[in-house]
Amino acid sequence: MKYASVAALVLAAAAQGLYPSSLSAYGVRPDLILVVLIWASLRADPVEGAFLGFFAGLLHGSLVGMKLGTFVATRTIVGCLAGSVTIRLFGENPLVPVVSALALTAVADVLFLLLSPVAGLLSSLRLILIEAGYNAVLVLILTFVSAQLELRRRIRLAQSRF
Amino acid sequence: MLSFLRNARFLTVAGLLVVALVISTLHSRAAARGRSLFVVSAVRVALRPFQVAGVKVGDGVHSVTRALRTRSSLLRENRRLRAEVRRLTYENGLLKDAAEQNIRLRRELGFKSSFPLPVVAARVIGRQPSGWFSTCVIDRGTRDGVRPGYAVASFRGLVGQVFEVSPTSSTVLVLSDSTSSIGALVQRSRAAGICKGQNSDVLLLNYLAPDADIRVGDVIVSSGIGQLVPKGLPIGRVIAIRNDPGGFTKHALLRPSVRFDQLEEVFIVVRAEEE
Repeated sequence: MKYASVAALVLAAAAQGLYPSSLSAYGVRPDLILVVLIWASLRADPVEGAFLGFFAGLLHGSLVGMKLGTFVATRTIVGCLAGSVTIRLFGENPLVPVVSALALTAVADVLFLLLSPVAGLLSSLRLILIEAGYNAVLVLILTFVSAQLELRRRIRLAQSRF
Repeated sequence: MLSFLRNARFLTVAGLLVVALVISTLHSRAAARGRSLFVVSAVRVALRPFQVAGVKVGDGVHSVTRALRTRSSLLRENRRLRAEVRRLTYENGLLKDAAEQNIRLRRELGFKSSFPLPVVAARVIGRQPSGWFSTCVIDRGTRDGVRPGYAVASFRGLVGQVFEVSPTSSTVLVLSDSTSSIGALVQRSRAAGICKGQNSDVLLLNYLAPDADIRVGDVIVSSGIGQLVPKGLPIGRVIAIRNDPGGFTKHALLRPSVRFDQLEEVFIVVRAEEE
């Protein structure tokens, strides 16, 4: 699972720069690395989530080429928080990934703007909300697809035992 | 009261944040010296094959979607020849794409041969990896002689400046980024100002003298101040002019010459500082 999460983060990093602008919502593109980080960390514990976040931040910061430390710090915190969610909440509920993605994207963006004020917090509110919504939809799709794949894997495993 | 300090989870996260702080400091120091941090270079080198593969897959998808679009109209017209039309349309899509690329490359080659400074052609392998910054990644790095500060242009005009370089790729700070600023001139009257990005599809030309001769529709070009960006590269066209409060300066809004979200091939102007 850990290797799969790391591989998914690398693929997300490669896809982030190639995401077609025609698929943007109101001029805002989703943060694919953050989407995969939240999805992967929701299935991990807080420490694993923090390490995944650290790696995701390193990837994202390296791609952008600026504010590397801010990317690493914010993603580490988000990974840890996402890892903490399923300790307290029932992870199978589809509302959990959606609300988590909404809240954690907002946390990541607000923390980022507090640590590196590249834009005004209030003026960026619309941008943050659209991105959070977009990310939430993608996390839900990713969660649904991975749950289906996991279900099929279990069925195959059970069938092979008989 | 401070028992959380002995919590392994807290210590791990705190440790990672300290490492983040160290990385941040090292990255800033490396950037100040015009170098790239080892970790950043390693990540970029590792990601490059995925990015290049992604671009190729994107091109393939583009060709196929174009072919499919054409196919649907042809199917309606000629149902009996469906199989034949599908094959021909697909081939047609690929050829059209190749022809368009050929025209574009010829135009850029013309730009390259007519350009007075040495340039290196590069391909965009990643665009705007974060919503907060307007940057793009190109497939040329220190191995190709690229250095931070070099100007990047397309045949339409100035794109931005290289600000971080790894051995095989570079990150370009696009003119539309809010941290980007560059000396600019009104081509017609030579009135000077500073062109700044606003993280939108409009650029801002500010610090213009109150009596500066500037009109809507004027072409704005780079001023060449700083030597790394050559003089005379088109930046954009004036779409509005406003007086600043106090009346000491005025500013203009520009529509960029380059569509930054549709960049595919660019040129890096190398060794301009030696000219």
